[in-house]
Amino acid sequence: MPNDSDSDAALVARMAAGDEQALGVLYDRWATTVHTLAYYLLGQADDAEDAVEETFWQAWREAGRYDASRGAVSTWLSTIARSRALDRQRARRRRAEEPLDGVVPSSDGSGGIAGSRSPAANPQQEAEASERARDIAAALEKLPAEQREVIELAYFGGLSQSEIAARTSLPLGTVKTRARLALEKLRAPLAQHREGAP
Amino acid sequence: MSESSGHDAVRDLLAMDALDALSPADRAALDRHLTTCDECKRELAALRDATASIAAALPPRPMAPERQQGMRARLVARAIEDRAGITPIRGGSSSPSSPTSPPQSAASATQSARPTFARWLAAAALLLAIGAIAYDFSLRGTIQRLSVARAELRDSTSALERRLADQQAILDGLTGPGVRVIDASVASARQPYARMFWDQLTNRWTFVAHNLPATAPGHTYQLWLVTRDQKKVSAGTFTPSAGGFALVRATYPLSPDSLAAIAVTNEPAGGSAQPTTTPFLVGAAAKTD
Ligand SMILES: [Zn+2]
Repeated sequence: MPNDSDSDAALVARMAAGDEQALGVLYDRWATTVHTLAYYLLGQADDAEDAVEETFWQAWREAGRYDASRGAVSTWLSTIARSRALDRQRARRRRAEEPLDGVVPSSDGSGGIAGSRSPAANPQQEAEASERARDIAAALEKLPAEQREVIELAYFGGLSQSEIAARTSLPLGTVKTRARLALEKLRAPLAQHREGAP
Repeated sequence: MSESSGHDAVRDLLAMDALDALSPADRAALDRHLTTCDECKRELAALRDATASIAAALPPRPMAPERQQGMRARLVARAIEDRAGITPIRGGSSSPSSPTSPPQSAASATQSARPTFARWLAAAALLLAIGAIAYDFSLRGTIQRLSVARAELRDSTSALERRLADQQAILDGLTGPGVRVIDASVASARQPYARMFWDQLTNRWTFVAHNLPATAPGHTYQLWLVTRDQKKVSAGTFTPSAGGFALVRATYPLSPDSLAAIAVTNEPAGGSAQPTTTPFLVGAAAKTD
């Protein structure tokens, strides 16, 4: 357990009190995690970095609203980061009318996102997208394929439950159940990493 | 889904909410249930942590070191600006005022004086400002900074003058959606004036005064909180700096509507249990609603 003065929660409390050095320390600790998430959601380096900066800025502005009973600080940051990255993903999709499969990497027949992929813009982007897809599949490897699909669409694609149901042609209840089973599988190893919360 | 739904009925909603994928209708149903069910709230927190763990399971993709450091510097610099460079003052709804133009604010402050405290107000040389300040983190940061700065500079009068002027500039700019400051002064530039900031969530009081005359030997100024039932609570004694500055901080719980005024009296060194002289500064508190 981290000591009180530099725990994530203490840093956020100091940020809420106007301590910008605490923001710096929190950034040092979590920038890579946040960037990793943004990268897997967005792919493009510039977009991902912009999302990281927006994430920490929002954390600074909203530090007073952090509620430890709703999850760890890292969870709060991830939630912000994912939200900011998905905003960019949607904006990009609107701009380019980019099909979802161009944003969420397909998992190359390993049980990932179903359906056809849009042609990648160039071979390098295609290679990167494939690599991201493999990494995502590996991160979710403990999940059965049908659960992984729901998590990929929801978490990396930012789809709502009804959009997932439409896309997978599954009943909404089945989508919900698969999401629950998936998260219950994912939660087990996390318990050791939670900090601060009782 | 109704609020009478038990844990089993909302279990699937919890997972979807952790993924931010709930429909608005389901979201509303879940929110209703969560207001009454701590068990589900804990479960949701655990599922949110599980969701966040997906990011941790991905191979790390750090930014280039120089770009990461550049972003850090930008964020910290923006935070400093955000904390200190607050937008121009916004007065209370009844008496907007600007600390940078005291002559204009004199009239509005006079209008805000409450006749029910005529006894105190008649004795006053002038009105003080009282800001009833709702919770605002930028204010808390500023107050914290003032406190730190004051401790650092206790031994250096000239540095204190400089830094307090700087801090005053920060205080002058204090504003925001939750901040209400009623300012008052008189036209003459060298007249005393003061401002009280009351953080009603933390019960911290910060009193800043300018152009105060020096106290006579063996005497001190004493700051009082005057409640609506005429109780006078000491908020501490102080002596102004050579330049007439004073900054007093106190912590005292008071319900938002029970403050009538603040006052400053001249007291024997060490202070008094109750005021023994007529206050020479008084500020009436406007109703906080
Ligand atoms: Zn419940």
